[in-house]
Amino acid sequence: MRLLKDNKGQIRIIEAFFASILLLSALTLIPAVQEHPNDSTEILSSTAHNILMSLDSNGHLADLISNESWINLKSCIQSSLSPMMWFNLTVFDENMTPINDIPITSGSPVNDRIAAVDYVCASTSSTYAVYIIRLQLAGVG
Amino acid sequence: MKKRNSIRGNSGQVLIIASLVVALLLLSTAVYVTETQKNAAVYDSRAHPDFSAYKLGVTHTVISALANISNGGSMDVLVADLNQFKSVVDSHSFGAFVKMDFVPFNVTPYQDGVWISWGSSGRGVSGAYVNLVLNSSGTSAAYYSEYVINVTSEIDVNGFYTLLTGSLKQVNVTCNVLNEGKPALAQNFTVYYEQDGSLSTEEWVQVASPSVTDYGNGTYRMSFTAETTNPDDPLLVSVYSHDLRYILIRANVTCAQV
Repeated sequence: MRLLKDNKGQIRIIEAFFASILLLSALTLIPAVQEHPNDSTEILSSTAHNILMSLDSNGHLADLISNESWINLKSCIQSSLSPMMWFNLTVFDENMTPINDIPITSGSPVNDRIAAVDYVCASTSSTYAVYIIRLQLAGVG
Repeated sequence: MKKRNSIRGNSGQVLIIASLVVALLLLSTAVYVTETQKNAAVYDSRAHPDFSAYKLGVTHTVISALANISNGGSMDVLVADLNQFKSVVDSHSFGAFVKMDFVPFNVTPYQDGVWISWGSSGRGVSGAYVNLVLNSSGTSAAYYSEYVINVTSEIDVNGFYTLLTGSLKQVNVTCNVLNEGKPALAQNFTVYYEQDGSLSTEEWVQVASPSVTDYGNGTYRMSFTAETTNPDDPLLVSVYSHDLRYILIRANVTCAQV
């Protein structure tokens, strides 16, 4: 009985040790859970940026905008993306006034996690213009 | 004796609290180190992800300015357009503070970043050259990149003719179109020849519809008939061409008789 009493403190130490390990492991898991959504947003942002750069590489993007070919612009974005992805594109002039008079979108967003990329596009034509293009992307689910 | 028992009875609790305090200290130190590492702006030798987009934008700006200048626009257009692009980037650099600086090349043959040389030796050049510096400082990293933006459209023309009857000549002109030294396609050609073969009184006659053969690799062959004042007049041909970027290039050549 006396031996059991003497060991009581040591058992509590071991208990406390396990409790602190449990606490620490729970805390280390929190950033891992938070990092996951950031990664998916970064992938969406990177995809949006790559699509815009690819369309702009030969000056095609600025041509579509200056000709106000919004339907063609929508087709270009749509063909660059998986059908399971939602997008919304807005074209602004230098003063951030929207230029596109019709919505360039694939419908309603199906996911709360939307990544937005702003891209500065310069025209190659002799009549110079600079546009700011905002592309929003979201995945399904 | 009772007091001693009480101290012994609480020693476990004290140890528990002590171990918790140590655990919390360790944890807070780990969190502090991680957060500090995350926030420290370190110099990154790689280019900022957005820099390639800005470089592309400046390249397009230079192409636009050169198209404007080569088609008769003012030489100031290059700097004006670059300033316009810079102001948009400065005011809309999203996510990080981006500072853009550009210097038009001012070493011969460039003047204020532009080189227009439409010579009589069969070579014509319309070019622009700008040094671009991009600086970005954000919360996690600082970036610095230098780029050279060189846009050069060139045509190389050579030709020969055979005498038909009287002053009538069958002319064949070969034209090579180059963008940044690499074969490129042309949008259109306009061909002229000098009426009396002398540049003292320039009387250029536009060839109505030359027969143009496109070899698809930047080489074009143009055939037409020209009638000079006298059969012995040398045949001076001037070729104007817009490349696919709408940059105008012109070259004059004296065709050899074969």
